[in-house]
Order: sequence, then C-alpha cells, then structure tokens
Amino acid sequence: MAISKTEVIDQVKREMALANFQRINSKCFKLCVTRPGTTFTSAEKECVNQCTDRFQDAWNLISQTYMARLKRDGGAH
Amino acid sequence: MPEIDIADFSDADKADLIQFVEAEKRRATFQTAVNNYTDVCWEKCITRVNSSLSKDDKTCLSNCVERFLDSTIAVLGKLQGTAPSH
Repeated sequence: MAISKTEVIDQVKREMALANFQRINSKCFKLCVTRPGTTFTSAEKECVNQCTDRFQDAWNLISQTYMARLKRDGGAH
Repeated sequence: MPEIDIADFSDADKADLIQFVEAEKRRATFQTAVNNYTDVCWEKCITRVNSSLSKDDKTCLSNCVERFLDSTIAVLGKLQGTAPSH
C-alpha cells in the first residue's frame, strides 16, 4: 500500500524529535546524575525534569541570539 | 515504514512534498547550527538547573554564542591566511 503525504511529513518530524530527545537526555543525565547510585533518587528525577525544560529555554534563547546576529551581519555566516 | 516512491503521489501532493522538503532543508541548516551552539554553550554556562534560567545563565548563553561566532571567524581567518597554496 502506498504511503500518504501526511505519513511522510509525520515520519520526518518524528525523526527530528527523536534526535532532539537524545541530545537533551545525554546533557541532563550528565548534569543531574553526577554519581549513579542504586536508585534513581527523587532529587535526580526533579533535576532531570527541570533540565529538560531549561535545555529547551536555552535552545530558544540561543536561536534568537543567533538569528539577531545573522541579521546584524547580513547573513555572513 | 513502507518504501517511498515519488511516482505514487499526485502532482499536487508532489508539489506539497517538494515544498516541505525545501523548507525542512533550510530549517535543518539553521537548527544544526543552533544545536551545535546550544551543546557548546550549555556545557560552558549551565552548572545547575532551577525553575527558570537565571539572569546570569541567560547572559552567559547569549555571550557564549556571540563569542563562539567571533572565535569561529578568527579561526577561519587564521586558517585561510596560513593555508598553503596549491
């Protein structure tokens, strides 16, 4: 059965979301689980939760800063 | 996911898909750059997380992108200046 246009677009979006998830996961694990113990502590879980949101805040801020720079430099990069 | 064959699509869908792919390509170039800067600057600036980014975090992240780009231009200039001519 042929695949629909919407399925192609959805698949691309899923793959991009997955790549994003892997980056956030490794950054937040590195920041929050400094010394892995026998359990995933509530403090680690809370840290990972907040880290996920903050990483996206950081991405958005950097995106805006970069966009402003590109405009200022006339797209020289 | 089944094999994609462009011949299976109507002309209207083909046009939509081509437009989508072109837009995604432009977006991917920009996003790859932002992903790279976020990776570098997150490591440099963020040592702990809270309910929001602190003023210091934000200043550090913004400065980090600007300085990383300055540094990129400097390295590029240096390499181009000293590159052996073939």
